[in-house]
Amino acid sequence: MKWDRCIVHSDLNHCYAQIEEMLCPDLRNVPMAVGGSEESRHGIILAKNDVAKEYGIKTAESLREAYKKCPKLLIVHPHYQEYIYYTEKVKDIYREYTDRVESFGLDEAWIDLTDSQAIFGDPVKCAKVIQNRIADELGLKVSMGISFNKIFAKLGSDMDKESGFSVITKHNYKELVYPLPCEELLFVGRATKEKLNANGIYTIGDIANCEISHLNNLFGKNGEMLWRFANGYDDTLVKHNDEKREVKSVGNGITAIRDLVNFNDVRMIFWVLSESVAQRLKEINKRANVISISLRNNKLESFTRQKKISESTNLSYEIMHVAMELAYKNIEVNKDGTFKDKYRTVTISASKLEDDSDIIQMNLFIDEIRRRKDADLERAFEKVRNKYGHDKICRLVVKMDEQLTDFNPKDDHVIHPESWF
Amino acid sequence: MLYKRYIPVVTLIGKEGEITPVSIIWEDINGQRNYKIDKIVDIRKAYSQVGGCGIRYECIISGKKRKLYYEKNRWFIESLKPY
Repeated sequence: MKWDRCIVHSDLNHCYAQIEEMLCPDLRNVPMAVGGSEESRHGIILAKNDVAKEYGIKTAESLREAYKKCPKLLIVHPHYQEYIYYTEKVKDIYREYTDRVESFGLDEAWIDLTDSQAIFGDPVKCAKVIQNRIADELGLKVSMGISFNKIFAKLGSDMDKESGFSVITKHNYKELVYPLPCEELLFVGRATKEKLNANGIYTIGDIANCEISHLNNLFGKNGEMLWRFANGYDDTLVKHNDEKREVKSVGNGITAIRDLVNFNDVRMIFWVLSESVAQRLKEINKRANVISISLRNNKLESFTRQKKISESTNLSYEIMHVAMELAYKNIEVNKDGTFKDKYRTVTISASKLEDDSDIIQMNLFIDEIRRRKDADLERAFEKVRNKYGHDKICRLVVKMDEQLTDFNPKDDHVIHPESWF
Repeated sequence: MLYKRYIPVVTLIGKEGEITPVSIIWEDINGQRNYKIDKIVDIRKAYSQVGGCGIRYECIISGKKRKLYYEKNRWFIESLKPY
């Protein structure tokens, strides 16, 4: 059967854990999870194997909780270089079959087999071949969903855990997709789900059968997007291999080794983060117009606040200034200056990026000479760091608690899952 | 039971860049020995049951079939002896 459009979504099952198992098969027999180190408190589970899953261990829970469920749990520290290498090998196999492979994070990808049908024939068989080749050549298991649009393809890859292969066609999608709970749909998170449920919408079918105007009233323009997704009207293309995803934002965050209890702690961490963000912005020749901070307390509740700035920037000094302003405005403090909530994880990110050209609209009310000087200072700072090492020069403020600020977000930066937009 | 052992391999790189293992160097308590690869039966990408994956060369060495893997930039063999 020839398909008008055939999109495959392929997902490397619990990617990090599976690659570790492939490299060391003995790990398959013990409860194992990939996670950060407990001492430095980056301690969360990043991925777990099937044995660990039987103990009820969940991705993203803290190591302490995980050990409670399974004291024998073996924690493997992540080897990002290996993950990048092997996931790229997987994608190389996809690329043998089509020139349209769009990555969605390290482990997921959309593959457009529409035009490959002329060469490889039936796309369902072709996808099976790809799946088997990955199993034989790399020893890795991918689950695949095949459908006529990206959204249903993604749904399909999660559908059949056993065989890891589902086909959703224009004829059967109503039976397969409509009964699924609404949170399975891409972009329906916790908040959206609650709002949908409160309005009596529980399944994807309910969304599809809803009036667009009703959804628009609830979610604005995203309402229509959800409706299109649920009905399978999504027609976004799978990006061409050569098309680079444009960088939309640059951010760095850290889970500190201890709770942050006052503005001094926050200031120290912010300096390290904003320096890293500024340096990364400079490396990609961008300036940011919006700075946002995100804090998570030790009860794992988080909030994010952002501010648009009048002059786009890539200077750590200015990023820092905005970040602190947001912190002062949004963190509740006790009378003695300590925070009401104790914060553990902080993130600074810069978005609404524009090219860093020499042509700038100067502002009468800002000291441009001072800005130039700051920029020169930072450039000198970074030169020293690049030549002699990250810890060879730093601001005095971060020396107030060296343990707290002993991290290098720029070079330790890891790739996080990408978002759709 | 098979074990993963990284070993030095004498390799011929051909005009087109194709890689052919010529002999393997085996080290144990008796010292170093060079074993010639008599014949390569099969070459394909494959994973190994002892862990890892790469280009698999099924070879005949001293009359026995052995699987030799080229992983990233080094060689390992599925060995019957742990060390």
